[in-house]
Amino acid sequence: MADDDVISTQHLSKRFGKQVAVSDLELQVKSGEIYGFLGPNGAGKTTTILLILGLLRPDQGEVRLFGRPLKGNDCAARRRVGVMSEHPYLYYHMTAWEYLSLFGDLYAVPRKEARIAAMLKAVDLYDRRHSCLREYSHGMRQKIGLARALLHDPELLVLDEPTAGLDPHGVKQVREILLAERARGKTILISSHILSEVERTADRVGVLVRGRLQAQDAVEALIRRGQGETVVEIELYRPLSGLVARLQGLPFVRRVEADGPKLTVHLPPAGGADYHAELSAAIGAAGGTIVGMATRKGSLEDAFLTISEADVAGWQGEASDA
Amino acid sequence: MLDRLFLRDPAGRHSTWVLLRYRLWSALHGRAFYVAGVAGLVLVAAMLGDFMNYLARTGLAISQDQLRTPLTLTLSLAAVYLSLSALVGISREREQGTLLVLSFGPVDLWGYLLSWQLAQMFGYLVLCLLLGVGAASMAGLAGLPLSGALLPLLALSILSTAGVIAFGILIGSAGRDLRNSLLAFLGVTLVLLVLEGLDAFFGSLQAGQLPGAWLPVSRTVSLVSGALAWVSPYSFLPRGLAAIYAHDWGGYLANAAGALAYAAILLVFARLGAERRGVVP
Repeated sequence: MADDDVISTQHLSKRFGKQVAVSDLELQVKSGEIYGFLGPNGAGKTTTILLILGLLRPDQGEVRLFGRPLKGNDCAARRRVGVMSEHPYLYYHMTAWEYLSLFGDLYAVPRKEARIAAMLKAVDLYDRRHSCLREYSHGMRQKIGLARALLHDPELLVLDEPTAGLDPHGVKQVREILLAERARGKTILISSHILSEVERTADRVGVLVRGRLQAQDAVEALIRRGQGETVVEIELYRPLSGLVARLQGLPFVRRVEADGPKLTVHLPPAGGADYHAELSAAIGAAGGTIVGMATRKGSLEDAFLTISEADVAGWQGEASDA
Repeated sequence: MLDRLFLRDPAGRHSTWVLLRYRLWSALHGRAFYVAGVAGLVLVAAMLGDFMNYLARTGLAISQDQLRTPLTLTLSLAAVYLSLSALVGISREREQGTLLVLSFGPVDLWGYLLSWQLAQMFGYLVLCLLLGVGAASMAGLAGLPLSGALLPLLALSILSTAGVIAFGILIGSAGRDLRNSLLAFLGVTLVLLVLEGLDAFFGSLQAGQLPGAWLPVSRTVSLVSGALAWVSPYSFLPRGLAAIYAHDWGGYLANAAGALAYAAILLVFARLGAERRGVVP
């Protein structure tokens, strides 16, 4: 555990009956970063969030929030956290203004009216402030949930699927809000299925599979780690017979696919090396002319699928061994 | 735990006060509260009408204080209504996830339950004033004698409602869902009413009217009913009102203290029940 960890867990475990929800979890979220918390459905992300907030008691292990061990019902620590759940769970008989006003009172927000107005403007709902929340669309309700989480200017934001159900404008708006909060030094934990969004906003990512943290690293490092292979796409001036076999003979090439003048060359994960020079030389020696060549960039989605599928394969192996 | 029970934490006191204000605001802006008040007034009017008809027919007044029975009955029903509305509110807040959202913030379960208890007791005070003023106006129009101290006396009964309101909070907190909580509340209420009714029935029979085989049943019912009178959440308010009407201030204070202690015990169990159920919908 480092001094600048806002959230850290040690050997955190939670079971529901025979079902293991979280197992021996060692999570570290550092001050001032956006941490993407990823995992397939049922991986234990929401359970982990409830454990971090002290709303579930762990069977084993410890949660430290702001550097201090979290006691069962630590309201003082929770006041420093803004939480947005996957479902907004609003008081639907209230207007947006009344709803935020209630939470402004609960958190004793200074200059409450001005802060509520600023939050409603930030999520583009100021003009609808006197509408009943019952009349809001799903996306608008999500935004009110975010406005509530931000209202008391918390040091730590914990957001469960913040962009679920939002249109592209809403997604962009939320992204801008989160990046602005990070720029103000706030720490943000985002649990999400929308990996492209996490890739664009997060500094570090943790991948949870069946309650275990399978990977925790910077986004770029995780993408590199998750890439099973390097893929180079080459476009030739015209197709060349025998070239595929020739390239296939190179010691570093795993596989070559040809589609007319386009070649896709699969190479081992090279940690940055893309063998462009070697491939160019081999194609030139065979009499080919290269029009374009590029290494396909790996994505967080590729890394996530590689890590989570590897775990599932391992688990299936364990099950069949048993 | 005791620190939290007595709200020594200023943040806990603040959030309890905010929730209390919110609950009162919601109750006073909703229809149900006024429907209950008007229904109570209709009941008082019906009972006073009966009394006036009887008086006109026979020229005999059954009681010196004609408002006593209608007000005792309607205020007892008002307390049960407030207890039920706390039960429904707590169950719904857990099922709809709003309790979870409150728990994300500075609200702990003690403050949450205490806000319900205090809001319903203040709600009782408002209903009490509404019913008292309404009943006094009706009695005034009918030319019945009135005590000037009626309203302040009724307001004193607020402390005696603590037990019945805490009972609704306990069932709402510990119940699995709204349906099960309502069934448990109605079940317990029904058992208590049946026992009280049976006790009254056996008590009204003269010696020799009851067959010998029924005597053990009568004695058992009397014993159980007598014991339950001390632990029933419904027993405090009628006893408190009776003490107020009789100007028995020692009895009133003892009953109020008993009701408050009883409510505190039920709230401790409600806290444990709510913690066991969790706040996640």
